[in-house]
Amino acid sequence: MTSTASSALGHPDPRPLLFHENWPGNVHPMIDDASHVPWAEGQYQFLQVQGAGVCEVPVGPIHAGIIEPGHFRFSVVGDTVLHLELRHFYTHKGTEKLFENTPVMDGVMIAESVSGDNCFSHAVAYCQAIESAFGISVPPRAQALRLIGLELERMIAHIADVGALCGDVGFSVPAAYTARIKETLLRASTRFFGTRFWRGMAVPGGVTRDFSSAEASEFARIVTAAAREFGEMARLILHTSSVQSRFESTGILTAEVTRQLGSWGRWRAPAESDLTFAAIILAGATATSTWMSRCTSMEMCSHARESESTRRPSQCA
Amino acid sequence: MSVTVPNSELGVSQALDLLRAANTRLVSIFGSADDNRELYVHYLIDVDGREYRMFRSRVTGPIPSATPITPSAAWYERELHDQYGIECARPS
Repeated sequence: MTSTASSALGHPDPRPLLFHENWPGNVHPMIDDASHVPWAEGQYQFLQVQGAGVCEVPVGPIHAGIIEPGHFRFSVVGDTVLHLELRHFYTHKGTEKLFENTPVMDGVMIAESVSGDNCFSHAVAYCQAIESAFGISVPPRAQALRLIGLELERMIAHIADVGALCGDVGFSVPAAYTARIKETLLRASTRFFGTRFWRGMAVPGGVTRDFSSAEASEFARIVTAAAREFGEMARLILHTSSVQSRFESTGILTAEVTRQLGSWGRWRAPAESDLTFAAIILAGATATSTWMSRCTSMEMCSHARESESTRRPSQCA
Repeated sequence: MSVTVPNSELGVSQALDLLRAANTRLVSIFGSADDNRELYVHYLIDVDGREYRMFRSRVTGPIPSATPITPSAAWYERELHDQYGIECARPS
């Protein structure tokens, strides 16, 4: 284990997290000057699981995709993962430090650069913090547009994750289909707002762009079609026996581990009143109200159920 | 979601006591420093999936680790040390 002061105090895992061996252990950037940090040497100690049949599988840090670098070291016996060591932050940019002395109106650009998948939600969270601190109210129409962007980002995350699940069990065709559905939504955002990930949209006090009722209806049509297509894809995936056997028998997260990881909680869909509010503000059109409610993942699931009740499983083999 | 922020020296022990309850979940631990380089640790805890509670405490030395109570604290505490030099020790 890397020697740090905290190891003497008995922390269960005193190894550095953000910084790698080239970073000196006595430089703490949020309280120290981090403009000229000397290069250090060291050796990271992975926890090694030993025993008959234990196989160590290293993955990354370079991946076949556009995700950021991360090293995963699995210690496995067959399908059972006995231990997983994660090393991330290869491209840690010192984002926290960048916020220091940045004018509040410029900080939103840093916030939305933290993560591409969560670009808009991070930007809105930053704006809400500024608005709360300065007592700024946001116009209803801007609130409605933010809600659409947040729901769209969440929907895209669900679609991409379902595709990733398929990729992980070797079901590559649906993985490609979900990538295509996701792409249609990103292109729709480009068409109406000039940005795939709603970059530059959120700003303290509101949003920077708006769209007309006609554009809202067309956007609604595209999103509704994507949600329906995804629902049918989800049904096909869940009815494929090879996928079922992997999804149902491997990677089981027990209640105890869930509790330890804190990976539980209550998910709250936007209330119908939130969506109706957004729809009324945007266009007052029934179509808008419909597509807004269809943006939710619950609605995507109901598409899958609808399809299930009208088709026989043999049709999706 | 409601957030309460008792700015108390007892923040750490209050947060750890709350984390021992079955209906709570650690959301985040993070540090901050004020203009005088005084250090603070913040605990954000979800109660019953309905209410977020926040505890803030001034840091003047090693603080007790929440990791033995909830393993999900480990990464936050390692980050506290990396970024702020705050030491988290196994509670005695």
